[in-house]
Amino acid sequence: MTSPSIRAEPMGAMNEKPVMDWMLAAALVAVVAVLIRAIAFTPTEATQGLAQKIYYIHVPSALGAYVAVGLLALASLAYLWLRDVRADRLAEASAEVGIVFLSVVLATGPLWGRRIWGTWWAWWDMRLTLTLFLWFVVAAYLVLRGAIDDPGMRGRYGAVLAILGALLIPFIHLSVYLFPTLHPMPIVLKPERPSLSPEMLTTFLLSFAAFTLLVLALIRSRYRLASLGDAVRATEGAR
Amino acid sequence: MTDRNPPGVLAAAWLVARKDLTIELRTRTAFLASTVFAVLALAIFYFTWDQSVVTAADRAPGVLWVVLTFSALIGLQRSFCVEEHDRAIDALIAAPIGRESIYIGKALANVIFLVALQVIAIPALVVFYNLPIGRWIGWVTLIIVLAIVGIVAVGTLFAAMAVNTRFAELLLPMLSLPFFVPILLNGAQASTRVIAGRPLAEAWPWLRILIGFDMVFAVACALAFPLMLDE
Amino acid sequence: MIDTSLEFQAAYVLAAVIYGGYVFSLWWRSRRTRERLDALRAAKRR
Repeated sequence: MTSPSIRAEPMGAMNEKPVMDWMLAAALVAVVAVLIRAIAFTPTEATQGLAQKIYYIHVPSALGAYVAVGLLALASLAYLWLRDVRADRLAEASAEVGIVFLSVVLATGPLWGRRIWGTWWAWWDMRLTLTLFLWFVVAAYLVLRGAIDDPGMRGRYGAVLAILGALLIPFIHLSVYLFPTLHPMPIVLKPERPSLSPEMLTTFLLSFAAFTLLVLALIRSRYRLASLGDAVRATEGAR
Repeated sequence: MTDRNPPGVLAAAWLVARKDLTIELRTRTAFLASTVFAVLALAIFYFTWDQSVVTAADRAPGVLWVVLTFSALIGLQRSFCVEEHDRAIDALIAAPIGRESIYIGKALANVIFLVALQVIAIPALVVFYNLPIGRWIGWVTLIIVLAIVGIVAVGTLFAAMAVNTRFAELLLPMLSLPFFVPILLNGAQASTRVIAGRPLAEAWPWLRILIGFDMVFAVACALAFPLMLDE
Repeated sequence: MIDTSLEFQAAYVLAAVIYGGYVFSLWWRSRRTRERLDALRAAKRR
């Protein structure tokens, strides 16, 4: 039963759009294509060996994760302001897709770091640490949503958590920045970043484009799934 | 209706706080549970490492902060549970006080609760971990109070949230702990240096972040609180 | 050049599993939901 405080949208046409569509297919093709290019058609970096190619997934996924999390925060603000169920759907979709991308960053990071930095986890690597805490906050967001039945309360509480989470991130950054850790002497990586050849740079740029397309396509698909779910609930309620 | 004006924000908050504390004083269950947990945890932690490698005094600050965080969670759990019975929260909302007063009042009660808890836990720490009495006690008390303000600001809001959900006991820690991290980190880093006798200036960078956190989140959570009670 | 092929393969496989698994879950859930919606609408018409 929807609470009276949410503006409902007109039923019908909205829920007939397919969840899996051309945009998602194109994004998947793009990602596979660029990774094939990365594996077979980009030179292997001299000092790190094949592990450097992990970066073609790790870094663009981080960017995708930040896009999703940024959308989560913006959609949450929009929901609190407008109380439009579509903003809430976007928030839900962005959170779920976001945690997928965050998980990939966290899974691939240590695999790269273990041989190259000589350590599984690098607390001094700001991106990795922030990604970890983002993961915790988005996970809490998803569990919170799952634990509330009333759509109005779910939207409100979720939005508050998302916005507070956005406020939290700069504080994590500041705290970890000051935090004294022994920087292990990187085993393989020299202090200056190894320079990228033009082919590597191109592959990187293509990879960024492909993963950005993927995150947007996935959010769009997940949004449609949410619309579909709402249609089911509305139909059930109207009986 | 009485012919008195409804109480102002702070007076109303104090009324709410007094109500919560009176209930707690009469039943004493939550305070007892938190205190026993804290002292027990302090004792248990003592046995978890090789004494010949690291001294107890070196470990003490870390243990203190872990125990503070988790006993705070126990204390926070109770702050809205007491309203669950008979939907007492509806009466609170209907009362002629602003919603900010409910938040400030509950937060105040939580602060007093946690400070009282520390009054027992700190001496236990000093005794179990063989810490020398010194100037550091005053500074550490200040740091802990600042941390408690942050913990309560965030925890009171999330307790209000969690009590309306299906897995309240699981959700409160899951929601709160990421937000406790800057409090824990900065508080622990600052107090470690202070306990070790280093000058306060060394602890200041951490303390500054903690104070900033308190200011930002006290305001943000107070603003967000009315949304927890909306229909 | 050091041999880091194991990490490289593990990372690519993990990423494929996570992303692929999610795409599959989207497809699966959308199928289930659409079936449910169609069933509900059919029941209403009767």
